Amino acid sequence: MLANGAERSRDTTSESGTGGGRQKVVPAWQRPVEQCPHLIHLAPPAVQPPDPLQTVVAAFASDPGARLVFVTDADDHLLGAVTERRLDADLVRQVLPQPLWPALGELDTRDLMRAAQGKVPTAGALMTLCISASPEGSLGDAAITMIRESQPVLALVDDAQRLLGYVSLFEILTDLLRETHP
Amino acid sequence: MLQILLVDDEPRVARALEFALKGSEMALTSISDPDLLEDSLLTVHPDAVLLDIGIGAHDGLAVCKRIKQDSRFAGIPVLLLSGQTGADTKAAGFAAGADDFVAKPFAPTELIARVQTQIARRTSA
Repeated sequence: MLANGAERSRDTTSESGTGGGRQKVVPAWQRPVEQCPHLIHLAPPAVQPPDPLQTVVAAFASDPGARLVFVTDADDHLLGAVTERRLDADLVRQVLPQPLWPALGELDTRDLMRAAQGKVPTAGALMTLCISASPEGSLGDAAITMIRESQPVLALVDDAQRLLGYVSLFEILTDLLRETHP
Repeated sequence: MLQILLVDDEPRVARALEFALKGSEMALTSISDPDLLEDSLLTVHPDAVLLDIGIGAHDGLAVCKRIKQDSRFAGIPVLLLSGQTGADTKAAGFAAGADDFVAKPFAPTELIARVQTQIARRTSA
């Protein structure tokens, strides 16, 4: 579907230009992420592995749209992310009395059990692997990576793997749709 | 080339801003210690200041007030940067004299537009 839309985009844009010449326009999905500054979220909240749950939650609350919190080392190298789902169980344990837990049927029982057994968890304990890419990569590659990995956002890192920001799948798709279905 | 002075103790914010301003008509100078602010304002002559509200042990709002209460610098637009985007935080920022508020994370497009707008307002005043 993405490829079809992209082809349509190329068809409609490749003959633009002035003076009767044919100017080659890069299709939206081939455009480097760094050339789409409206889609990039720079300097997102990040935590470090020893940070407690409260710090993770505060970071989450400052940018809930990301649906995760990035975890970095002290030099900002990306280590992973704490996802919204991982936070759910630990937050439930913190704020709700245990008799109410079964009412939250959609939470994973294993997560609840793990949360119930542990102390206040750290970002490192909650962290999972996180996908990342260079801002020089294309919008299409970024979108495909997120779809394949079932992740709503993709971390952007510099050449040293330090966290710069992120892009969101639905914002990219919205942008691509705007060009392919004006 | 417009001169932008960043006051922030997090290197990743400086890196993000360098990335955001790459290819723009803005040059970035960054300091992490607000105690160096006065010297930097005098040497850089910034067209705008981007100031993080939470700079280590320093209170960014107090730093903002200091800039705005100094007649030498009061006309320089100050845009506050913060990951705390609550209404109270923004209100406190404006009460401290800030000209605008940029929430982290930010899109380069929005950041540049906000900075340019504040500089244009100052120029036309």
